[in-house]
Amino acid sequence: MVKDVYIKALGITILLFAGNFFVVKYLDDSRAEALRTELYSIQEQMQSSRVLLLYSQYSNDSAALCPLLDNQTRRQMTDLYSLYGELQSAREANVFTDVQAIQRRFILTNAELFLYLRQLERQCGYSLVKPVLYFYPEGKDCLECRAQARVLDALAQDCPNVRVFAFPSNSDIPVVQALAKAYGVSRDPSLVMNETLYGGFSSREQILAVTGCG
Amino acid sequence: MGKVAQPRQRSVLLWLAFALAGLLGGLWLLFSLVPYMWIFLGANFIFVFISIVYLLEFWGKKPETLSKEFPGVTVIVSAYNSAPTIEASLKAILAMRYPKPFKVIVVDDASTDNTYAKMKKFAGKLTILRNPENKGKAASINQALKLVKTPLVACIDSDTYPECNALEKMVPLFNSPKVGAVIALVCVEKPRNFIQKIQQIEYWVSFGFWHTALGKLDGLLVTPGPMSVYSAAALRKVRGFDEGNITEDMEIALHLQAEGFQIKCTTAAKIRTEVPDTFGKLYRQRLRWLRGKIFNGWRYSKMLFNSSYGDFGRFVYPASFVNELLGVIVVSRVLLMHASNAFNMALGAFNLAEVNASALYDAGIYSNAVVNSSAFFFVFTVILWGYIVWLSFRLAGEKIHIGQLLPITVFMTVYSMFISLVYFASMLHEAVGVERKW
Repeated sequence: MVKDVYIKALGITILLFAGNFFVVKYLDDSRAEALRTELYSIQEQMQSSRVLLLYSQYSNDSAALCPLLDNQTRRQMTDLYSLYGELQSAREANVFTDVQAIQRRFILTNAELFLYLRQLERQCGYSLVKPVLYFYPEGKDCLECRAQARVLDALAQDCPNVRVFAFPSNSDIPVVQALAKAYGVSRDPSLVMNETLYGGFSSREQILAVTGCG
Repeated sequence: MGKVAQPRQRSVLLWLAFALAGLLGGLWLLFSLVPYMWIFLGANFIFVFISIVYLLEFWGKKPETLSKEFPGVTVIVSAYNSAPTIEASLKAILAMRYPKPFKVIVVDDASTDNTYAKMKKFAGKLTILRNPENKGKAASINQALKLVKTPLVACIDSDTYPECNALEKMVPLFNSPKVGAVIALVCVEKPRNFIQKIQQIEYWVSFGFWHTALGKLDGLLVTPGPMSVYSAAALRKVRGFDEGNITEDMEIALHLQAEGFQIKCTTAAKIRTEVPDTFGKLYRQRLRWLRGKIFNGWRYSKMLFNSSYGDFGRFVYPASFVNELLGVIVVSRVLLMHASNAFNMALGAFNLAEVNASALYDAGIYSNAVVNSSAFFFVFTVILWGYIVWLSFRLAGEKIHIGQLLPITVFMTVYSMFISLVYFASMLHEAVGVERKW
C-alpha cells in the first residue's frame, strides 16, 4: 500500500516539472519566433536587392544603381551576421524548440548572399567586402572550430572589409555541398580566402595577412 | 631510492585499477547512451521528489508525545588519545542536568598520550576502565555495557560536549518500549577555519532538517557517534555494537531498524563535537563513513525495497542509495565535460594541437554566457535546497548572517560535489576490498 505522502510528493514534483516545461517551451518558442521573423525580414530585403540588381542589368545603369545596392547589401550583411550569432545562441539554449529548420533556411540565405555579392562585384566592377568562407562540422564538438569562430567573430567586428560566411562542412544542402567540393574542403575547420583553401585553425594574423583590415 | 610496492600492495593496486576501469566504463556507457540533459533532468526530478516527500513529512506530523518519566541513565565514554579534549568533554558530561543522578563510565582504550592521567582527575565522579591494548570504540563500549544496570545508556564521544539540557531533552522521547534510540542535533564545536565552517552548515542541515524528516518517517539510518541515547534492552537484543565495524554508529542503527526498533530525533538537544580541520582529515573521515554506508548497506540489503520494514525499507533506505548514486553520476558527467576541455587546452598549451591554449580559452569554453532554457528546471531545485538550508538554521536556533553566505554557497555547490567524489572513491575501495581502517 503506497502512502499518501509519496503520491502527493510525486504529484507536486510532476506539477512543478510540467510548469517548468511550459515556461521553457514558451521561452524557446518565443526565441524561435523572433529568429524566424528576423530571417524573413532579411530575405525580403534581399529579394528587393536582387530585383534591383536585375533591373540594373536590364537598364544597364550600374553607375546610378551600384551605390544604392551597396548600401542595401551592407545592411543585409550586418543583419544576417548578427542573426548568425543569435541563431548559435538559440541552438545552445533551446531545449524543446528545434531551430534546425531556421538554421537550414539561414544557411541557404547566407549562400545566396555570398553568390549575390559575387554577382554584384561583376556588375559594379569592385568588391564590397573580402569574403571568408568558414567551414565547420555541424553537430560535432570541435574545439579548434570554437576557437576559429571566436577569432573570426572578433575579426569581423574589427574589420568592416571582412565578411565571414559560415557553412557546415557536413551539410546536406546542395549549394553548400557544391561550395565545399569546389574548394576541396576535407578537414575542420577550413577557411577559403581569395579563392584559396586553408585547412585547420588559422590565427588572426594569418587571416589578416590575406584579407587585410580596413 | 623510492619504495618498492609489496606484493599485497601491488595486487590491491591492480584490483583498484580494474575497479576504476569497470566503474568508468559503466559511466562512459551511460554517458554515451543518455544525453547529458536527460541525466541532469532525471537526477533533478528524483532529488526534488525525495526532498518533497521529506518536506511533507516535516510539515505534516504533529510533535512527538513526550514521556514524563525519567528512567536511570548510564553514560559511556570511550576515549583513545583524546588528551586535548577529554577534560572539557567530561566536564560537559558531568554538568548535564537530569532529574536523577546518572553514572558515567569512561573507557581508556590504551591511549598512548596522557588521556588516562586526565581522566583520573575526575576519579570519584566516574568509573574509569582501562584497556591493556587498543580494542576499538565498539569493543570498549560493549565492555562498559556489561556494567550497565539502568534502562538507558548514553554513548558519548570523548571529543564531544553535550549542552547541559541534552539528556533532559532526549530521554522523554523514549515514549514506548519500541523506541530503541534517541538522537540529537549534532553541531560543530567552535568552527575555526573555512572547512569547519562548511561542516557546521552541513551538520545543521544533516542532523537538523534531514534527521528530523527521516525521524518522522521512522527512517533514521544512523545514531551519531558523538552522542546517542539507547535503550539498554534494545542494545542487548542486538548484542551491542559490532566490533569489527568502522561505522559502528550506522551499523547499530540499521540493526535496530532490522529488529523493529524505532529511532527518534530531537533538535531541542544540542551536542557539540570536534570536526576535521584539514581537507585530508575530512576526506579520510568521509571515506570511512561512506565505505561504512556501502558495506553496512550490503549487510542489511534485505531491508531494501522491503515493505515489512515500513517506510524505512520501502522508501528511505533505497532513496538514500539512489541519491548518492545519482550524485556520483551527475558529478562525473560535469567533471567529464570540463576534463575533456581542459585536456584539449593542455594539448594546445604543449603544441600538440594546432590551436594554442589561449585561443581555446578565449573561445569561451569556461564562459558560456548563453542562458540555457534548461536552467529553468533547476531554479526550483536551488530554491528548494536554499529553503532546506534556511529551515535547518531555524531548527538549530541560528540566524543566517552575511559571513555565512560564502560557506553556504560552497556547501550547496562544490562541497556536494566533493562528497559525491568521496562516494565514488569509497565505491572503488569497497569494490577492491581495501582494508577498512579507522
